[in-house]
Amino acid sequence: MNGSRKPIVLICEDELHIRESIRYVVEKAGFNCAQAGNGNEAYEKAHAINPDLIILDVGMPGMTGFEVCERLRSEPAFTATKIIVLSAFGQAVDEQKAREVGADRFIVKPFSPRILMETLSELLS
Amino acid sequence: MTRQQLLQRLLPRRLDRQVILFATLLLCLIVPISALYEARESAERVVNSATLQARALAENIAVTSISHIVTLDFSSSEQLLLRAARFPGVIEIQVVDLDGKIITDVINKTGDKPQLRYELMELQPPIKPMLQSIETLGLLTIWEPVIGASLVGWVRLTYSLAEAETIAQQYLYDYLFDGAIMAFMLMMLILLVMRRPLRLLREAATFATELKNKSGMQISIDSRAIEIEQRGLALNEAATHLFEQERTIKRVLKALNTQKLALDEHSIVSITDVDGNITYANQKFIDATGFSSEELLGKKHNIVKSGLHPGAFFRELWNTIAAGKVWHGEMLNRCKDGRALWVNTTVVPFMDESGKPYEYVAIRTDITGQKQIERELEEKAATLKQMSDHLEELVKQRTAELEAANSQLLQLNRIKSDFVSVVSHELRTPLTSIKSFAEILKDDVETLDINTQRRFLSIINDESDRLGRLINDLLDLQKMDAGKTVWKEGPINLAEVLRKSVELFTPLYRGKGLLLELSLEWDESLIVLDVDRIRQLIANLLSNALKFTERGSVVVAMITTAAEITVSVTDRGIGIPPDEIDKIFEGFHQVDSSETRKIGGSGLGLTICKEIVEHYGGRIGVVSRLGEGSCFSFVLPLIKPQECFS
Repeated sequence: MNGSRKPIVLICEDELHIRESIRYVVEKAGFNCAQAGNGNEAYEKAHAINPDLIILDVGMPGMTGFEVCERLRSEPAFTATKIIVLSAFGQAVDEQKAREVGADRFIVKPFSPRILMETLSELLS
Repeated sequence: MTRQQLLQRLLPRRLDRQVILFATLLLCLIVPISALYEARESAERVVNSATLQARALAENIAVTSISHIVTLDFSSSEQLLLRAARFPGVIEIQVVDLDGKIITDVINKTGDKPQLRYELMELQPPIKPMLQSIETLGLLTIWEPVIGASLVGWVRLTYSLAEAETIAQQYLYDYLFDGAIMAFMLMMLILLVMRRPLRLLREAATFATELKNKSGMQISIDSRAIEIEQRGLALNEAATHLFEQERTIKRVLKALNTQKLALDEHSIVSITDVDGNITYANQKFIDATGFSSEELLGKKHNIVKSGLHPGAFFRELWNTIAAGKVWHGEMLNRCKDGRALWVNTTVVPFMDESGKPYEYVAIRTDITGQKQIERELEEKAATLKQMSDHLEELVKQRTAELEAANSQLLQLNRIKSDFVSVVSHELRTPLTSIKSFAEILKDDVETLDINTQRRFLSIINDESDRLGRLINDLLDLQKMDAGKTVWKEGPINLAEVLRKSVELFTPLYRGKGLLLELSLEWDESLIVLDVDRIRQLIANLLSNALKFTERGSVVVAMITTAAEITVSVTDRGIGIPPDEIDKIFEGFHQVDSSETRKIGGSGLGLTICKEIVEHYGGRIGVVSRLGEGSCFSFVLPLIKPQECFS
């Protein structure tokens, strides 16, 4: 991690209120923040800003969070990027799927902002 | 005519007659020759004997005449000559002297009375004694010298040989006669000897001629002649052989006849020559085809051709039998009256010595009945097959239906499962905001300014409302699904309801800079509906139009006909992609876009609308173009649907 620069976190979430809460957590943790409202936007922004960590909601319009994660992981530029998958479905199959597509963490909605912050810090330390 | 033919014509055909002919010819040749020969011998002997007698007489006369001449005793000489002239055959006797002067001359012309002749004449005596024969006259003249002490004179004796010749003639006749007798007797003897073998031969010939009528009989072979015995034995052997052959032939013929009878009883039989002309047709053929014998004989066999079989079929048949092979097969023949005659056919070629077929025997069995049964069976089989196919088809259909039903059930199950999952997701989403901001407020209340706190609390409030609406909608739907909804029905003025709803939503539209228009074509009469549900229905549609429209106006229209009422809500919003149109009434389905997510909603509004419309036996639908807008319309009975989107 380059000490001269704050890590960038890309938040991909279609629900405005949830996105706002995540943004609050990310900024509170001291990271720079970028946002995307659907899967396709998330994929494009990831390439545009090359974030250190991506928070992906599963149930997004366009590409789902799983699809975005899988595609990014297949590209050399994103093999090291930390990825957290968020899901409101919360079943065990989703956790399994998240592992398969190469996510670092899987967090079920509703989540605790405190836990999310801890996870962010852990991944970006 | 050749010599052979001539001989055949002249010669008698019968052997005994031939024998007689040959014997006769032979005897006719031998007997006269031998008789002539014998007669000649005998005549010679007689003439010789007569000559000797005549010479002896001349000698005696000469001896006696010596003294007569010397003494000139004419009287004694005359006496002597007259006596001597009585000797048979003597014609003249002269005694002459040396000079040839006749001393005594006696003549016996009549043969029994000699006379003295006194005619003076001289004879020329020979130098030496001589015998002169004048055969043509049958006369013999002998000159005998009269020798005493010396030659004193001559005796001349003329002798007739006529008698001797007569005797010789007689001999010839006798010989011929005897020869004829002997020949006859010899012939009789030959015939006697040959009679038996000839008879045997004749019998054999007759037997041989009539051999065909004499089967089983034998000819007698009691003969000493080995040739005849051999012939007889051979003939008997031939007769026996013939008899055996005849018996065999009879037996075979009988067997053949029996077989033919049996065959005729069972089969349709015909025989054709190599060109296919019918030479024989049995009664069964006639009975089966209906053609008469006259109509069939000499005709080509294709008189019964049905036309069913192709040319190649008959070519194969003819090639087979012409090559000397037996042909088997089934064929359809046509009777005289046009009836079909199926026959199982065997055609057998009969070959001559050179190996070429000279006739074909066709044996057929009527299998029309069998064919009929076969056809019926085939038809039945076909029917069964059809039924089976039909059954199979039915089974397939049923299977497909079951599969469809099953898949529907699976889909329903999946939908249910999805629904639970979706509901869970939909409930968790507002809850996530509530939970997050509640925790943030709890943890960071000291550090957050009042405005931020107020904003976070407002979010919690909004999301709580959303959660509440969601729960209400879910309960509504669940009740409708379970039929537990209480419908408070009464006569309502639908135009009035629409007006009030538009009034209620106008401020919200205005707030977004939109225009909400109402277009009514209604006679204000009442219809029976649950007013609250109708309000809910219209509110949902107006709420959706508001959510998805950013500019222009939304038009609410009501059109009536005698049978139906159509209410439509037309917006100039974002529109619905074609592949989403079918899903939007299914629940928790909003057109996916980041824009739409900004607008809260349970996602169950259209589903509830559909339930309400269908409760009243109507239908709800949407016409939409992406980027141009959508027209939602519902049709209630007595209301005619109308295209509202041009």
